[in-house]
Amino acid sequence: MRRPPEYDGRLTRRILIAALVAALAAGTGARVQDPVSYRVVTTEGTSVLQVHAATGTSDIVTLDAAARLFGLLVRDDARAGGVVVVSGNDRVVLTAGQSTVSSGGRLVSLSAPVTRSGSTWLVPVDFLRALNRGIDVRRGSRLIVVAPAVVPRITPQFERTSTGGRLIVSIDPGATTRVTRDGDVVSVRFQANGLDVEPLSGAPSDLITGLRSDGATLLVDLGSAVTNVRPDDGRDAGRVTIELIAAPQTTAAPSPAPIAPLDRAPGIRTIAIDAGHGGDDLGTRSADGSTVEKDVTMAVAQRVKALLEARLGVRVIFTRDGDASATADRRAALANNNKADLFVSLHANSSPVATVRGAQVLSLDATGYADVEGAAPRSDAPALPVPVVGGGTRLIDAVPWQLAQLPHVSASSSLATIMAQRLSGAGVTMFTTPVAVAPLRVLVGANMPAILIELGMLSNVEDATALATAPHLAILADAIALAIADVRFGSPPATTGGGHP
Amino acid sequence: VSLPWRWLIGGVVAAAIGVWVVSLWLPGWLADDRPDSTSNAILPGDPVPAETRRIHASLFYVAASGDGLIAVDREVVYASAPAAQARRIVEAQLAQAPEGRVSAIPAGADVRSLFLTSRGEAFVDITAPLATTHPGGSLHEALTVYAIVNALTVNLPDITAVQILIDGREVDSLAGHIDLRHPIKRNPGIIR
Repeated sequence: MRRPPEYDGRLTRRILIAALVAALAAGTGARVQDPVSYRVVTTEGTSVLQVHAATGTSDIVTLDAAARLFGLLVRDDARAGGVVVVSGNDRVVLTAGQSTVSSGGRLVSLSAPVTRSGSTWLVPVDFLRALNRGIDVRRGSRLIVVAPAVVPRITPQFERTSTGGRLIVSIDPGATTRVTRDGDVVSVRFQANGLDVEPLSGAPSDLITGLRSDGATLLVDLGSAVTNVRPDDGRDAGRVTIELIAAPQTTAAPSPAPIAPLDRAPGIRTIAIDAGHGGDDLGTRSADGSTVEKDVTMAVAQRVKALLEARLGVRVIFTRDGDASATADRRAALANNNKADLFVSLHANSSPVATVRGAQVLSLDATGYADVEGAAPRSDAPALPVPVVGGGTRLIDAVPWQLAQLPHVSASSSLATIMAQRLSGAGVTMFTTPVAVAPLRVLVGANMPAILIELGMLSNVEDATALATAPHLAILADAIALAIADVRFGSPPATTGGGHP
Repeated sequence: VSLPWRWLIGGVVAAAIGVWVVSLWLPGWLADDRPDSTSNAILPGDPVPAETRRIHASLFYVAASGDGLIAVDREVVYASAPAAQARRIVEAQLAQAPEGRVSAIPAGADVRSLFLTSRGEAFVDITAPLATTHPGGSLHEALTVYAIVNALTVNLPDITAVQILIDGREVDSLAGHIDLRHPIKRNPGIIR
C-alpha cells in the first residue's frame, strides 16, 4: 500500500473539493443552479421561495416564507421550546436545535437543525418533505414540486451521426410529448406542469445553438447547418429522439472522429455503495469471532443509503443483494450499468499487529497497470460501431473493462482525501496513513471516481468493539454521507466538529 | 526356452518398459515441454540439491507499527540457478518468522513451483492456505503480497515483477482486495 503524494497537507480541502467537482463536472456537465431561491411548481402555477442561507448540505428558509407559500398555520409552543406547524390535518413539531421533526407521530430527519433568530424560525428546506403533502424538494436544481404537479427531469444528450446529429432527450418520469418545428426552433411540448432541464453539452453550434425551456415546453434552437429535422414517433414516454439532418458541406468538413457521448447525466445523482464481502465470504473477523466484516459493511451501507436518499435526494444502489456474495466484476458492472457517479466500497480491516487501529480510505494505485494490455492511451484507437434502437449505428470509445478506473484515479484520490477528512472530523480514529493507494481489485473496473473505505480494524479490540455498536456505525455513516454531500454541492467540510446534520 | 516362455518374458519386459514410461519418463518429458521451464524451474518432486552454502537475503516481516514491512537480513540456502534461488528465498519468506518478528503470511502456505520468464517476471505458485487461511483486510493482504513480491525483487534484481498463483491457478486476490491478476512490481513504499 502506498501513501499518495497528495496527502501531505499542501492541498487544502477547498482545492481538493474544487478539483473533484471540476473532474466530475468535466465528465458529466454541471447543473445550473439558482443560488438564492427555489422555483415552486404546483398545478396552479409557479412561485418562488427565497433561500435565507445556504450551507454545504442544506438550504435554509424562513418558516414564515414557507408558511405563506404553502398555507401553513404556525403556532409557538413555549412549553416545548418550539413551534407547531399545522398543515391540513397534520401537525409538525419543530424544536430549536433539533435536526429531527415530529410529523404525525413519526420522526423525520432533516439536513440541518431548526434554529431561531429573534422571532424568526429558520428551517432547512427539506422540512417541507415532512408535511406529508407530496412535496418533492430537488436541491440540485433548486426546484420544489407539489403533487399532483408533474415536473419531469429532462436530460439531453447529443451524438454525431453520419448525416448530422441526434438529440436524445431522456424524460424522468416519462411523459407524453409532441414535437413540432417552427423555423429554426424545434418545440417539444410535454404533458407536465414544468420541466427540470439539465444543460446540454457537446453539441456543435452549427447544429444546435441553444436549449431552453418555457413552462412545459423544451425549445431547441437549431444551427444554420440543419436542413431537416426528423423526430421519432413519440411512443416512448421516457425518451424523445430528434434526428438533425445537416447540409452536405457540414458533414464533409474536416472534424474529429465522431465520438458518441459516454457522459452520464449531469451532477451527482447516483451513488453505488459496495458493502464488502457477503454470503460465504465473511471477510475479516474480530478476535473473538463475534463481529464479522460482511455484517459491518452492510449495516453501514444501509445507513449511508438512508441518509443519502433522505438528505441529498440521490439514488443509491447496492452492489450486492442482502447477504449474498458477488464477484468484483459484478460489483463494478452494477455501478457502471447504472451509470453511478461515485463508487464507495465499504470494508473493515485487519492487521497482524493487534494494537494497530483506525480507519483508512484507499483509491486505486494505477502504477501497476501501466504494463497491462490496453492501459496505454491510443490516439489511433478506432471507435466501435454499435447498433442503436431505431436502426443504424453509433460509434463509441471502447474502455477496457479491467482498466475503466484509470481515467478517474485523480478524482478518486481527491474523493479519498475528502472522505478521510470527514471521518477524522467526525472523531473517527484514523490509521497512521489515513489515505493510501493500492491495486484494489474491486475498484479497477469502476468507470467513475471510486474509493474503498476501511471502517476500522477488526483485529483491534477497541475498533472491533466500536464497529459492533450502532452509535459508532451511525457516526461512520454520517461522515460518509457528509463527504458525498461535500462533493455533491462543491462545499468544503465544516471546520469544526464534523457537522452531523 | 519354449515359445510360450518367450512370450511371457517378452510381455514382462514390455510391461516394465510401459511402467517406466508412464511413471518416470513421461512426467519429465511433459515438464521439459512447459514454456520457460527448461532451465529456470524447480518443479514438485525435483530433487533439491543438498547445498551447504548460504547467502544473505532481505526477508520482510511486519513492522512494529503494523502499517508496513521491515527488511530483516537472513541466511538463505544458496542455489546456482536463478529459479532455484528464487524458490529458496520464497520458501524462507514463507517459513516461520524469526523470534521477535511477525510474519504477514499465514501458516501452512508452501511453494509448489516457481517459474521465471525472459521478461523478468516470476510466477510463484503457492499452496491454497495462503488464501484460504488468510485473515483478510486490505492492509494484511497487502502486507502478505508485498512480503513475497519484495523478497524476490529486492534480492534478485533481475526479477522485476511477481505474479502469485494459488494451487497452480491465477486468482483475483487472496482475500478480496489486492489485484493478483497481473505481475506486481516491488513496493518500496511499504517498507518502514
